[in-house]
Amino acid sequence: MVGTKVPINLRDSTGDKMPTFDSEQEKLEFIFTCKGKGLSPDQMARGSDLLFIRSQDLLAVYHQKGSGRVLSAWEALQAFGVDLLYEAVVDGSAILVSTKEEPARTIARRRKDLGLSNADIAKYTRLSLEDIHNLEDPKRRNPIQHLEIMARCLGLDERRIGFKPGSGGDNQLAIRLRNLKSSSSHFTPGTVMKFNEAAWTIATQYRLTSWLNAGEKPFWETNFEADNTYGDASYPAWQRGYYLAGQTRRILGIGHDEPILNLRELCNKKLEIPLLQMPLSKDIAGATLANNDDRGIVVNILGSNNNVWIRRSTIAHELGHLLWDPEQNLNRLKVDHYEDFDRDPEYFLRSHDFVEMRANAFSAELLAPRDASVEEFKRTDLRHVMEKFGVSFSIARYQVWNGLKRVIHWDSLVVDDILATDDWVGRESFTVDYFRPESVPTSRKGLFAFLVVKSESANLISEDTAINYLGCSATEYHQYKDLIFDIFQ
Amino acid sequence: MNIFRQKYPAREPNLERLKNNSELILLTEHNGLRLLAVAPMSNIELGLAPLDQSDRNGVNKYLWVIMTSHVPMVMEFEKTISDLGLERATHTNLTGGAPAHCAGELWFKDEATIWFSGGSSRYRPESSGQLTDVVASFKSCGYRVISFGWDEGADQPARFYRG
Repeated sequence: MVGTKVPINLRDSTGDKMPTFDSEQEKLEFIFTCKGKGLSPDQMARGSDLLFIRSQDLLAVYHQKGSGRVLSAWEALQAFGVDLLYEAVVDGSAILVSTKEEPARTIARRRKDLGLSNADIAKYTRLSLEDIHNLEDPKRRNPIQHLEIMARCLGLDERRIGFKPGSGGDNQLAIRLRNLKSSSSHFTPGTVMKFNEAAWTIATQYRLTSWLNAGEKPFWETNFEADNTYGDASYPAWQRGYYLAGQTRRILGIGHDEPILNLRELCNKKLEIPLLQMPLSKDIAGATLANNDDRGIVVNILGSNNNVWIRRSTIAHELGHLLWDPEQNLNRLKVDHYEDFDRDPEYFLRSHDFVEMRANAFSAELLAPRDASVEEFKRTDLRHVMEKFGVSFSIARYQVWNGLKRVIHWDSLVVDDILATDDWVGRESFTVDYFRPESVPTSRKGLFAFLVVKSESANLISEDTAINYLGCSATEYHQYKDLIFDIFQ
Repeated sequence: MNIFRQKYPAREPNLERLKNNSELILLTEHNGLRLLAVAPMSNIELGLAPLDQSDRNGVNKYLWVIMTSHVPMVMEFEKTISDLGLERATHTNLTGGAPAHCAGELWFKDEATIWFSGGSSRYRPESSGQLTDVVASFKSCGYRVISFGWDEGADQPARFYRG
């Protein structure tokens, strides 16, 4: 009553939270206006035309206005849950943020954990310094588009920004990236943010795949188990690598002398491992990256990987890490440099780097099994070994030399031409070289783009989200979505 | 208020998401219905504005509606309304489903100071300009108004105060 002081514990003393009206099923039927139709929650959300719009702070039913992110019913339900959607429908809008300090606090903390300055982020994202400063100010309401850009370059789940403290960021990955940045001048702030964007892309690709496959686990997760054997004096790591390559071929049903004609497709479609091809610092060949439970491969398209035969061995090397190395050996992010790929096994023996020794041997044996390489060499020559198996000069040379028990002279193994043939380039580099629209970032070209278009067609994500995920314009999306779908379908 | 009423004519409530007909029951003073008077307002429950998702109703939230001749208000979780089969009041419980100019929520910081939002699924302000004008109307009644403002992204009245 007037004149009474507000009790100190006023907020705690009340029980006036919104009461629970209905069961979850009843709430869903109310939200999606499908009462009595006997639909499952998934069917209701997937079949609904209802759209939502989110801003930094609110989720609301979309009515063709607002500058926020338009979300399909399915993606809103997946991101925020039934209670929040119910509230948005009943009350017109619902508060998204978990605390008033969010999302500013999560952004500031993550940026500092990664050792990035506002200037670093401004340079990478092209957001202004003022925009970035505003994102860390809890008194501001920022455009969701700015928050999404920031989330991606910090390796956060942009859907959870503000909604969940920490926004799904992998803390161990952040620490690993900061340490790599501190230990090498080549590992620039830009490289840190590229790997964060890669982490975001990998997580998003897994999510879309899971939605499209009704939650089934990817092939590689159910068919491969980490292998802790890195050998000893009697059974060296390279020999284990050969063995694991054979096991991989067996699991994948690839014959012992059969070339792997399209490693990109094998990763993406058969193994269901996100493979991102993108420009990185020129000394980096590739990396295996874990973002929480989501693992993927990142391959540099610059430097020696310009030659797709070398790029294939990089991918195969990373596959060796991803499929067979236990998490503790990957340490969230395993970055491989070009200079390590051509090293003799003796080098790794001396440096006790058995993880790399095993992955190098795995790569060579997976792509060009020794016995089959020797057979081809005896029938033709070294160049034909390269052409048959799609491998670099280095790999063909090692496989043949080792396969022949090193009885021939190393220097006698030469070729006139080390460049990949057009058929190999076409298969392996197709998504990088010929993808349209060109404005899509290289890391999101390929299967990721297809999954985005397919998810939008299946009403799992909104067109607005699809355009945002591809980073192109609406006009470009409309012009090329059918093409993207047809090519990858 | 009349200037506001002239500028923004009364409109039918948005009943797209009517849960049941009890949301159209017209509350009376026996159910805690009050008419907003010029500040300072007597016999009100002081409250606290919402902070975040887990505290989305704040403390002692009042619903208000600008009708053609008066401005009724009621506490959303007024205890006496449960007798009517209502779990909480809605804006149409203040109008009986009649046309109104605008509606929203408020919390009394003191008798003359209110935290203020245009949150309503039935008669919400339709633009930031309309929200600004309704805030001005409450100020003209003598209230110090702490408006939550307009959320451009969602194109809706904001639901809590960012500062």
